[in-house]
Amino acid sequence: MGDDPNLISKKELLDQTGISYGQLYRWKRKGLIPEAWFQKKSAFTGQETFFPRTETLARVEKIKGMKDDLALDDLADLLAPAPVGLQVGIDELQSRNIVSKETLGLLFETQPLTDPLSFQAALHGWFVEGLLRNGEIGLEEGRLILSTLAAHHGALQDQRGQFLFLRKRGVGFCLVLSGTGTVLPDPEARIVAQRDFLTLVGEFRVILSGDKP
Amino acid sequence: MIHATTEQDANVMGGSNLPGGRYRRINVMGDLRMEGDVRCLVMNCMGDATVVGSFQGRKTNVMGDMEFRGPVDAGTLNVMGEAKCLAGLRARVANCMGEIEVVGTLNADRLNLFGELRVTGDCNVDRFESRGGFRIDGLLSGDQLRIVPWHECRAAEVGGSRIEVRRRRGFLGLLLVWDTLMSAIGLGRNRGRLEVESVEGDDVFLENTTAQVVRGKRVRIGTGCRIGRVEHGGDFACHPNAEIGEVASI
Repeated sequence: MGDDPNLISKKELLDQTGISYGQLYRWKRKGLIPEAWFQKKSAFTGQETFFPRTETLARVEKIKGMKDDLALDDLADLLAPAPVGLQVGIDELQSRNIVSKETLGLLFETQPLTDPLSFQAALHGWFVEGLLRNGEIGLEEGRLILSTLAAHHGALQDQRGQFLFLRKRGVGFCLVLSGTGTVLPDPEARIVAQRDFLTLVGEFRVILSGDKP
Repeated sequence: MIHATTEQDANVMGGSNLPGGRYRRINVMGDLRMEGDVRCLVMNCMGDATVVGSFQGRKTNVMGDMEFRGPVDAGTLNVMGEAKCLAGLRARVANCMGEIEVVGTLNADRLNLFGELRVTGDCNVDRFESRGGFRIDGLLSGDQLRIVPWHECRAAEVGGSRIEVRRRRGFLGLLLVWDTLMSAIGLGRNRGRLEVESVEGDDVFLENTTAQVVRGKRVRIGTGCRIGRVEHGGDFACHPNAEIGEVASI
């Protein structure tokens, strides 16, 4: 125990952030802290719970900062992986310059689409759009990412996983990681994009709810 | 309700099959099988009912036998008979005087338990009050947990803000004779215990509890406890007859 610098024990977490057992369990119940972050490890006193250090500390600070302005359930909604029933009009996405025509075209090729789009599809479009605009990926790679996301959306959402895009010698490939963890690729491969699914959802929701026309 | 005109009541006396869909009231006095997803305002089951799809109700009363094969959102749930949920249960308030069995997770705002509860996953409840018995394979988590173990109570972990486990008490010793008699045949009020691997809370009061680890800010260990290790935040007291392995102040 205490060996892994990437992990923080429950006791240490409570001490450092000043939250109580009650709060921690409440936040877990409301889904504010992902189930997968609670990792059981055996210690000399029996089992102890550890958390991924940076993610959990950041998350707790975020919740502490936001809980004065928002009710806990609204906060859970904001951090929730899949806002139920939320739909986004294609017009809105285009007029607000969230997803371009080209990316929409890719989206149409990789999954059956309806107007308005489901939150999930809009999220995928926005994510790939961002990568395309940064010039990190090409159109062809965008198509690959979209079809991967569509195929593994369930795993990303339920396990609160991560999405990775790597490139080695000019060939790009996607990885979907369930739960949290570190990926150590060989030295020739480069991680182009690595995103935590929950953070992604949070960011996208802020953009959507932000400056509505 | 906007849809009130399109919704209908269903009364089942004999044996029957019904499709899923929206209903106003469903009364079952016989045998009912529903295929598909069901939404209703009130479900009264006095007979035997199976819902093969998902179920959503504002008020759900089970006085007979009910089996839910899909996910359940029961609203206010009263169980005096037997309810079996094979894909998780969500309720606003759940009152159980009979038996509830959940495969998966149980989520509720309030749970009042006088009967038996069995959960294979976690049990997440804001307010949990129990005067019955339960077996929870995962975590029992809640803001206020009040447990009086009348029967065997087991959970892998218990965590929350305020956790209180009290042994069953008689009335002013009036039941002393009765108690002695019942104890002699193994049915006394000390029969019920809580058995758990770990207890974690801000305020912890325990009686008749067996636990490997108890962690809390304020910890009180009462009579009838067997605890492997106590970690407390500076406020600790224990009953002289409690068996405690070691105590550490964190």
